[in-house]
Amino acid sequence: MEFKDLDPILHNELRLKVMAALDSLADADFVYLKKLTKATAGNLSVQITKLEEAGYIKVSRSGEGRGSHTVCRITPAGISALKRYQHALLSYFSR
Amino acid sequence: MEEFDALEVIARTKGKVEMDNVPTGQKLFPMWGWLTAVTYLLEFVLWQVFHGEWCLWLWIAIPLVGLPLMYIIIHRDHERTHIRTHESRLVLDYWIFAACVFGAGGFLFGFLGVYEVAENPLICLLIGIGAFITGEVVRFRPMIVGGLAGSGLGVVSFILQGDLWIYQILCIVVVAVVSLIIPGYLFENSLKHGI
Repeated sequence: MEFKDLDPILHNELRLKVMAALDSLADADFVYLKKLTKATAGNLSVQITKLEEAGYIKVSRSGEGRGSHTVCRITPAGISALKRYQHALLSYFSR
Repeated sequence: MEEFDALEVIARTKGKVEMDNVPTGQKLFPMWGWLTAVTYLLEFVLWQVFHGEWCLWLWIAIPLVGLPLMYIIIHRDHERTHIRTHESRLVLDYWIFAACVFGAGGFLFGFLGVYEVAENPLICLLIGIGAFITGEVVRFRPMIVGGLAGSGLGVVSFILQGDLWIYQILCIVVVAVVSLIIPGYLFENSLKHGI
């Protein structure tokens, strides 16, 4: 019995929460994602960078220091990856 | 993390996002409505008094005042909610498109001197269709009805040609009241009372 590989970028609870949230929205800022995921700022920042490096989300940063504003938006590659991930998971149950 | 947990994480997160999805921009409708109604009413009165073509350029005040106000309202909403939904983006995109058509049409028809033919009914239609689309997206019936009424009035105002063309301007005032001001306040009120 062959199982589809799960995307290692998405197979992480915090990154998956961020992707699921952004999949439902046009965009969301860092403050909202932090509140939603209940993650620490440092951890969230690291996971967002990983998703950005994978090309799954686009991050726009404006300002610096305390007044900085980070807005995240899912990319078409991110939408496809999340769909593939969900299909892969569902295929486990259909066997 | 187990596989079924992953699906649950996705479902739970999407559910939370849905709960956080509060409507925004409710102040935009009354703002644009009042601005449009007052400006075109003034345009109508000035035309009756002076009969000068310069009176018909008063519409430029609408984007000049409305766009900065709209930016402030949207910015404040975004600061409050921290999110933008696909629906709110769709609605905003339509209104930006309508504003572009309104501005381009205003200059084009104004410079060609054919403003009395189609410009004003077109404005009524843009407002009516916009209110209808917004009403459908936020699922608010008075806005849908107001949008349909505004669009209908826009079609009717095409008939006002020849000497009657100036009454097209009054049609815009009525459309602003019916499609923007009244549904805007009703929507704001329904949100306040959680209807």
